[in-house]
Amino acid sequence: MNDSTLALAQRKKRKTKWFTHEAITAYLWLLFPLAWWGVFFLFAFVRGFVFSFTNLTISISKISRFTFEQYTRLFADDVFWTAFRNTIIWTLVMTALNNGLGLFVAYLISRIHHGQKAWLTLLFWPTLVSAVISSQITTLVFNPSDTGIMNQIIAAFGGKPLAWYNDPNLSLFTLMIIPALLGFSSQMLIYYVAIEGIPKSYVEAAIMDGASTWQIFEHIYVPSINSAILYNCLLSIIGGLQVIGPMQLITNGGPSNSSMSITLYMYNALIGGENGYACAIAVATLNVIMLLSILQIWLQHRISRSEEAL
Amino acid sequence: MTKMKHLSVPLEEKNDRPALHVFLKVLIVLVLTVFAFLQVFPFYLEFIQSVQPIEGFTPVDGKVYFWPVSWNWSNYATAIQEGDLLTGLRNTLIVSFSFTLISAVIILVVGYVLSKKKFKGRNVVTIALLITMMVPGQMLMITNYQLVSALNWTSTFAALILPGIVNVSGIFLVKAFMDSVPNEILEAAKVDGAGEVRSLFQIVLPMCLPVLATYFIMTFIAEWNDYLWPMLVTGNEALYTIQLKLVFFGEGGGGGWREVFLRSAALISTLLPVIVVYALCQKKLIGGLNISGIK
Repeated sequence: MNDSTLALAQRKKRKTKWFTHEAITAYLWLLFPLAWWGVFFLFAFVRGFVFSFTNLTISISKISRFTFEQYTRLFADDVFWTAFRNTIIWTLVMTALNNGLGLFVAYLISRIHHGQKAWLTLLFWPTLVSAVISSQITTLVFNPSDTGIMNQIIAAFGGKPLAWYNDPNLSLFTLMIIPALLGFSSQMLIYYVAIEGIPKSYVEAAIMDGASTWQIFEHIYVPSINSAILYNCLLSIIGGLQVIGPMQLITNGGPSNSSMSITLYMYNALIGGENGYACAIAVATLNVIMLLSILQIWLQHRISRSEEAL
Repeated sequence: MTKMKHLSVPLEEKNDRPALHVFLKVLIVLVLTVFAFLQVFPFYLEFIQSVQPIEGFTPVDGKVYFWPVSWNWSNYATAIQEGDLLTGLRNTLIVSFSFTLISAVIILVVGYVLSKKKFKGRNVVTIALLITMMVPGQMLMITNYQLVSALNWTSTFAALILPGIVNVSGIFLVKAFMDSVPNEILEAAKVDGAGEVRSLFQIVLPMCLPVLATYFIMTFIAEWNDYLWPMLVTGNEALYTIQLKLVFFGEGGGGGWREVFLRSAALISTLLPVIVVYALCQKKLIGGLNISGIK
């Protein structure tokens, strides 16, 4: 008997039956959830993919033909590329700020002895702030009129008021500030939990050896929490690539598309009845996000394997 | 790893430079206070704006009001009435509660079955569900919007509640928890003659309550804060959720300062309920995020 037939024989032996009592009850339980999931996830996903290769609009109810025209249009569309650039900038800046601030604050909290929980509670509440509310806060603080809080502060120091989100050069940057200030809480909590998991004896041993605070941070903290860093960064990146709230609610992508994001552009295409084009935009960005997720899982796997090897 | 932590002496006690440490700690608390202050301050200004008099008052140019010229609590009543916020609140409560309850039952059942039942195809189902976690919501938004329109759901609550009830991340939350429960406990129930449904609701459900409580709070807050999907699918103003009421607050009104102050009052009224829920449940919420997965 050669190897492949042996393997086959073994597989046959391990084969469990389809219609055991347990299997039937399991599938009965799963029947409704899986059917629902099939319609609203699987079917929706495949349909979106298919639609992106059609010339579907709201006025054409039947799909007429297979075409790449949505994609050729997409790649030639300047607004899409502006939206793409803005979304990438937003994602990079927000990922850096959310994780930088989150890690910094979590580290600070872990270094004090009393009231750690109180500080966590105090700094975690901004997760409750919805996109609608944080956008209204942005319009209060960065109002382009002379009565905006920031403009008044500038005026108090003798500066000239800025147009903030009405200025094409400043709009994207202005929209970032309040979300960055209110957006690091969940990262902070995850980093805090990860830091608390670091054995104190490691840190003590390093202190005995005369390591500086930065050396301890770099060589003990960072390697110990790298899976938390990976997870948080991925979450920030996925969230960032799908950003729509501030742009939609404050500037609607303007002025002159300077704060347009991919999701907002897609949303507007959908509202405008260009369903096929909206799907093409979604598919083009979706691939990036799915690749990133797969990359993260692969990296996570590698990290856990190298940890096991240690 | 965590066991070792408790055996060791806190590291600060060994430090032989106490003066520096007090200084450092004060510095840390100071920095944290600055962060907390920066986060709260805009909301404070929003609150001050919300109680300014809505008639016969125009803010002086170039002045930040850290204190209102007079306290007009009636602004809140006016804002709630003009913005129709109570309808928004009712709709949000209906949507959030129904969604959270229905999806909680589903994640309980599916999480339990995927964790404890041995059947052919289990791995396929698990991996298929796992992959959907990676699909961004915007992709599904377009086609689900068309589906919901085709089903004529756009002027009913169904459009807001039903599409996402199979919550995959919730399923894996329950599954991860059930994986840590030894099989013997469930088998003991089977020996006692409990049927499938009974053992699910009398044994599995009570065990999962802490996880479900966390899921409940997190989902409830997420539903409360969601605006994009409701904005897309709700054709009927009577079904607007509270966030939508806030988005469209004062639309068609005259604008001006009256609108600005009332909008601030509406914002504070929208934020306050979640803050209260948070204050009551913060232990569950903060503790729960620890369960939900990061080692």
